[in-house]
Amino acid sequence: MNPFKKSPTDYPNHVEPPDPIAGRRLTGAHWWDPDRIHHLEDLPRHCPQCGAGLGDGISVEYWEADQRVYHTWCHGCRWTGDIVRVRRMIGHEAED
Amino acid sequence: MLSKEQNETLTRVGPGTPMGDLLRRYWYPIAFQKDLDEWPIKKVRLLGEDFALWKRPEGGYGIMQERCPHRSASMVYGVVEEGGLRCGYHGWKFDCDGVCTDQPAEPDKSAFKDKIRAFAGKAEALGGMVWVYIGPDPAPVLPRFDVFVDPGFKDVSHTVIPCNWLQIMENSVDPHHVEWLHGNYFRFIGEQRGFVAPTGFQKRHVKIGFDPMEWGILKRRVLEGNSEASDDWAVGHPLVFPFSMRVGGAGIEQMQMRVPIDDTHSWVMFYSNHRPIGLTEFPDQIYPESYELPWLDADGEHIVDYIEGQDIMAWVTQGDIADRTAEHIGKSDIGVVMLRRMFKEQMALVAEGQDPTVAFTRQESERIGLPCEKDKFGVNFLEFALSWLEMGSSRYSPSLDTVKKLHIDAAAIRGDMPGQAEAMLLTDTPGQ
Repeated sequence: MNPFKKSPTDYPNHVEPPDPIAGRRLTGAHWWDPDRIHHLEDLPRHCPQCGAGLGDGISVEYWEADQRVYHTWCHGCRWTGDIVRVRRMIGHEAED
Repeated sequence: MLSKEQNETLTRVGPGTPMGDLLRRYWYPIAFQKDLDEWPIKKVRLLGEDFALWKRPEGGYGIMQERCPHRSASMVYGVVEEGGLRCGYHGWKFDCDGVCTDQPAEPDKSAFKDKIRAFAGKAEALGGMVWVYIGPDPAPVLPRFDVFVDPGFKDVSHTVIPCNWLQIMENSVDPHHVEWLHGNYFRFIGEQRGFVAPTGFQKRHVKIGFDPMEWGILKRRVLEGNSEASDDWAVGHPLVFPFSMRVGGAGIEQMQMRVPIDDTHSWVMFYSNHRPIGLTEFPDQIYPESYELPWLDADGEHIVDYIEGQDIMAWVTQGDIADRTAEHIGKSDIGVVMLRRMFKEQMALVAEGQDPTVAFTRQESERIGLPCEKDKFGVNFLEFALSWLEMGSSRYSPSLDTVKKLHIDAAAIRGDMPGQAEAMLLTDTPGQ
C-alpha cells in the first residue's frame, strides 16, 4: 500500500459517485439528463381534446430532426395525436 | 423517451400491476409436451408467479399455485393421481380447478377441506406445447395459429434470457434493425471472421408502415430495389399481441414467442414449421424438434455470428429493463411508439373491467391463418431458406440436415434452384 497516495475517500470534500448499478435504471447523472429534464418539463399534462389528466394515458416522445414530438393518447376520451412545443415559427426555408 | 412512471407501468408484469392484469388475459406456452411425458410434474414461472404444472393420467394438463395452501410445501414435489395433484408433504389433494378434495390426516367428518381453495389456471396442448391461462374467468379461446396446426416439419429453438419481454416485442415493430443488425453488423462480423453474411438482410429500407389489426400490428417494408407490389409490403407480417411475432418466408413459417417469466426474464422461442412449397409430405414427428440455443460463449461474450444471437445481444444489452427515460427515438421508431400506445389502450380496457380487443377471442377456430410474406426480401426461396437455416438458430438443430433436405427437395420439385428464381416468380404466385 502506498502511504503517500490518499484514497479519494480521505479528502473531506469527497462525494461518492452514484452506484453504477443501482443508479443505472431510471436515475443517474448522464449526458442525456437535459433531455430527460426537457421531457418532464414539456410532457403534456392534460388532453387537448377533453382536458382530462394524462396520467392514465401515455405520451411517448420522439424526435423529427430537432423537433420533439409527444405522441399522446388520452385514457379519458381516447384522443390520439402528436403534440409539439413550438419555440419559433418557421416559414419557408430558403432553398440552397 | 418515457417518464419513469410510464416505463414502470409498461414493464411490470406481476400480479396486481396494470400490465400484469392485461397480460393475464392471454394464453402462454409454458412447457413442451415432451417434458411432461418424461416426468409428469414441472415447476413453471409465469408473470412473476410460480406454479406446478402436471399431466393428468385421465388426459390433459393441470396448473395450480406452486405452494400448498396447507403449509406452503411445493406441489412440484407432489403425487400425480387421477382427479388431481396430491401434496407430497401431508397428502392434501387438489383437482384441476383448485378444489381441495382430500385432507387425509383430518377427521373423517371434517368439512375443513371445503374451506380450502388453491389458485388453479387452465392448461391445453397445442403444437407439441402445453399452454396455460392464469387470468380471470371466463378464459378466452386458445388461438390455434397456422404455424402450430399446419402440416410440416416443426423445429423449435428456445432459451431463457435475462431481460423484460417488452424490449423484445419492441424489436418486432422495428424493421430498420434488420438491415443494420442482421445486415451491416453481420457483414462486419463475417469480414472479421472470414465468412460471407447473407446479403438479403443488407438491403436498405425505403419505406416502413404499420397497421393495427385484429391480432396486433401488421408490419410492412419496402426494400431498395423492390416495390409496394412485393410481399414485404403487400402482405407484410404481424406482431401478434402481446408476446409473439409471426414471420417467415420461403417455406419457413415461424412464430417467435417471448413469454414473460417475470419482470426481468423472458422465455424466447423460435417455433418454425418447415413447409416449403412443392412438398406435401413431411417426416413423421412425435414431438416438435426442440433444443436450447446458446447465446453466450465460454468467455461470457455474446455469440453474434447468427441471426437470433444478434437479436439476443441487442435485447440483453439494453438492460434487464430497458431504461426508456434515457432513449432517443426517432421517426424510424414509430412502430415502437404505436406498440406502447396499443399496450396502454388495452390496459385501460382491462382496468375498466372490459375484455381486451386485440388478439382476444372467444370464438372457436380450428385454424387461424395470419398474413405473412412468402417471397422474403426478393431473394430466391432456397437461397433464403438455406441462409436462414445456416445463419440462424436452426444451425443448432439436431434435425438441421433433415430440414435442409426438405427445402432442397422442394426447390428441385419447383424447378427454382438458385438462379431460376426470377423465372419462377414471373410464372407462379408463391404460396397462393
